[in-house]
Amino acid sequence: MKKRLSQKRVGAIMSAAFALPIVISIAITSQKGGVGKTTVAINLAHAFARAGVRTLLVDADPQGSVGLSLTRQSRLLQGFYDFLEDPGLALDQLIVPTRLATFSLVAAGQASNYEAGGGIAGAHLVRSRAFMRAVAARGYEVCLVDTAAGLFGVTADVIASSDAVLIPQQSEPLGVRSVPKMLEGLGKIRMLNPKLVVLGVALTMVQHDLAESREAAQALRQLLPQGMVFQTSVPRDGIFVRASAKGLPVGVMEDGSGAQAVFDSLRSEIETKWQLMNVRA
Amino acid sequence: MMDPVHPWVDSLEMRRLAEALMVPLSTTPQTSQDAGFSGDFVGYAEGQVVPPMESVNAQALSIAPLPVESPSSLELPTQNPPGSVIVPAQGLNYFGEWLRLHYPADGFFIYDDQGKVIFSDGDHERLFFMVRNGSASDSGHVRLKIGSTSLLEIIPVETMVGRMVLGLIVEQPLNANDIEPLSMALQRAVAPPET
Repeated sequence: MKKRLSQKRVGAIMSAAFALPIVISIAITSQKGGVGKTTVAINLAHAFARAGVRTLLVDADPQGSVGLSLTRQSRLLQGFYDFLEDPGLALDQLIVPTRLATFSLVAAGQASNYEAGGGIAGAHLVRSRAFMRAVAARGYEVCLVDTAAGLFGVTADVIASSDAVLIPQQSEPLGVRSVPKMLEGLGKIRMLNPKLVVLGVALTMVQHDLAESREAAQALRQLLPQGMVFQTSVPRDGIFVRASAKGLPVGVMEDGSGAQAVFDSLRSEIETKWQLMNVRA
Repeated sequence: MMDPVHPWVDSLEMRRLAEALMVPLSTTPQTSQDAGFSGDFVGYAEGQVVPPMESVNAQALSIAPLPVESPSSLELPTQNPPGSVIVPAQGLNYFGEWLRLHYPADGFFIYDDQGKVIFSDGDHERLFFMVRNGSASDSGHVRLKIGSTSLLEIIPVETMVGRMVLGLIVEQPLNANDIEPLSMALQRAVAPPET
């Protein structure tokens, strides 16, 4: 008697047969700088990878913060901006493996033309989309892209090439005041990428012992539609600074299990949202 | 204690912007990539057509075209000459891409209230004169038949940077429901960033 294949196995076979890319690319972006994008990107990517998901973390911030956080050689590595500049460069030449088999990186790179990360949006859209296709073809399941702040230039092109966007938002009044501008910017980028899914806003640097921080978080949850703000919030905690100093995700730190749980929870929320949105679609 | 957030933001506008992001955009499938159409103007289309103030005939098509600022590229100048409408190039890039994704258009162009072409995705000089005549009034949406299988939809749009006219070359006529999203998309695309 033939063994019946599981639904998952059938799906895998079908995908292989039709060469369907199964990848979700998530741009991690914000209008304002210093809100914790890189911290979210690194630790969320680690959370996906720890769960067995083949994960690629891409540094699309010209400051190269992901690379500076995780690899001492980042300033020597070719990366995302080189890919944008050089059509002859293949994704394989850029991938940096980590000790975790499911976790790889692409650094920002050496191309100096993009130091500011600005320029007219659309100028790098074709290459940015080519990058995402290459990521899918390489068999990754999740691609997280850490972008520069502001919804213009290369960042706009990255968002316009991604499946989804996640918005870290610092839990303080000034950050919340910048949200309308960010929403408007995303609305314009959606014209270029109508399938873009706005996963939501993740509150970061939350200080439960500070009234202004608590109130900002509460105000944002009141102002935005239900479901747009993740239930999981990232606290302000010294462990992120210590982890960054050591070039590690927090989950690898000896006392990092609590912080890692936050990102596991965020990962779980994203997976649920993505499934729901695909069911609705 | 003073509220540190609500007095600083327009709550209703913020909610509107956020909710708009959560609604899937309509995706009218693109049915044709064929950019070819006959330049022979054969008359006004039947149906929901508001004729332009001045009639246009085939002879008009041979009139020298208006000067084109950016005839065939999505790359626009970042600075506009003094006195002209200030149009964010990035916004028009987005609009162009959005249009290609959502409407089965064979081509399009936009010009301002002064008759100056500010965007064109191809060589449409012969049609500019028709558009100028078709939209010189407040007659609203106008449709012209420009070939056996081609229509030119002329859609005036009031934007924050002034009145613009969108010319859209299509094989099938747009229905009334298409006009508002098109107008809104153009309005949003050219709105100054700080608004």
